[in-house]
Amino acid sequence: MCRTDLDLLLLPLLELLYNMPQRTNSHVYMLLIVLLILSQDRSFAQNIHRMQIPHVAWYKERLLHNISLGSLLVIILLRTAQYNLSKMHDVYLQTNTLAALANLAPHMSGLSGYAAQRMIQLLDVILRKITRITRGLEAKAAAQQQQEGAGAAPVQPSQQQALELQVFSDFLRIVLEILNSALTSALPANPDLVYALLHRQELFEASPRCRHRSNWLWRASVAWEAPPLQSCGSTGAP
Amino acid sequence: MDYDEAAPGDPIIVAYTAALVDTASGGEDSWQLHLLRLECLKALTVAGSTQLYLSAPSAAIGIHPLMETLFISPVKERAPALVGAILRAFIARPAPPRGTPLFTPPPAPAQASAATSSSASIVGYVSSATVSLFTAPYRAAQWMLSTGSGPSSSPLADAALLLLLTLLHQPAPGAQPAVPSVHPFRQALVALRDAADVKDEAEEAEGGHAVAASAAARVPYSALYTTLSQTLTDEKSTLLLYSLLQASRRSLDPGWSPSWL
Repeated sequence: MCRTDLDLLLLPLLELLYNMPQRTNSHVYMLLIVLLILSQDRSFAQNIHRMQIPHVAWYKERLLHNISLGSLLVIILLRTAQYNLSKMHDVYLQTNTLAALANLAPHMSGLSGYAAQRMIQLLDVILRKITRITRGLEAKAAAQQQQEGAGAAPVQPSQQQALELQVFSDFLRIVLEILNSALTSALPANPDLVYALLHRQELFEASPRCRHRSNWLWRASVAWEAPPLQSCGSTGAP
Repeated sequence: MDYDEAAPGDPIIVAYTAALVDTASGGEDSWQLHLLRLECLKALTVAGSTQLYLSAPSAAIGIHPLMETLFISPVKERAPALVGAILRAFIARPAPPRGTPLFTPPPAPAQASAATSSSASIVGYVSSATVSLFTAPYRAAQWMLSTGSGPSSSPLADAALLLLLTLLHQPAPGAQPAVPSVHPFRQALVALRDAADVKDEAEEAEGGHAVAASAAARVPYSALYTTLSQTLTDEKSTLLLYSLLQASRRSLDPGWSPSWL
């Protein structure tokens, strides 16, 4: 992937994904699969973080100035994933989006603070959904026990609840693997990501469903104590 | 029965293919040549579309003779040249020359029904005349300023793209699930070369691979890249980008990289 004008192809593609509600489902699928294929190329995943975009005019939610193409790609993918979780509920679309992020994760470098914040935001959304489902099950179990007494049979989740829980657990696992991969492979190059993690570390402490939280807390503490990070400090700026 | 030993195929399909390959655009085309190429593209698209809605991967041999002609000799041998000609038409996006008698679709049904429903009253007559009076300068300016350039005003490029996608995603006749089959158009895409890479062609010619080198379709990668980036709003362009990436993977697997990018 030796082209120096990757933005010529990627910027229109990302703008189309940004305006996803105006596109047909088939078009969105194809765009994501194209990104997925591109993300599998190591040189592509590395080069996009070296290209700076002066200004992204079509991105309305925040002013993006002097942002790397890689960070913009991550932001759009995270935005797509979040939009899908809240509106479309399409497992195929979510899987492809997270797969592209997983491919890009080991090569992330200089990820912007805004991209890092959005990543943690996605993690928060998935954890909230899992918490909502499990609390619903617990409330159902408590109500049944109150009615039938101590000898009540354990409450079985409905098929839909079980499927939802499985799907969101898989999404959570993938997002945690993405963060794991980014921290393992490029920790000193992504101080804003570490800052965003430490800023929201309560996500891991408060969630009993996060089976990987002890692993994550360990990694975060290692990151904080690592000499290269202490010397450069984190910017926290988008 | 060996597929190539079947009937030679429909002669008109062979003629359409030859017309497309042998009349490659060299610049400013006459409207006759432009129309010929456009009609050939559309006719081949119709011929290759007859079994796209089958539930099975492909029909048995002999069911769709027009489509099957595209996959047997002599058309099969010209698949790289045909793919190259189609891609070059897509990249060039030539506007119809002035005076080309292209079919203009009738007005949209909403406008037609509004016109007919209001025709019964004098108010309808007056209102439609008033609207026409006020919009006449705008419509005249639009017609005068229309240079025919841009993605939406190149019927030839649109037809070329549709034909290429139809050929690429058409299963080979008689194809069975999980059984590898020869697909000349996909192979032509996998073997696609950069027209600007003249050095490769010379080296291959010296090494005695002149036949193989000349058989591969050659298109300017840089122009292809630019055209794709400008036309991604069209789903068909996105599908072509996907097809090219998949072809790149097949040609350089393992350790692949999209060489045309």
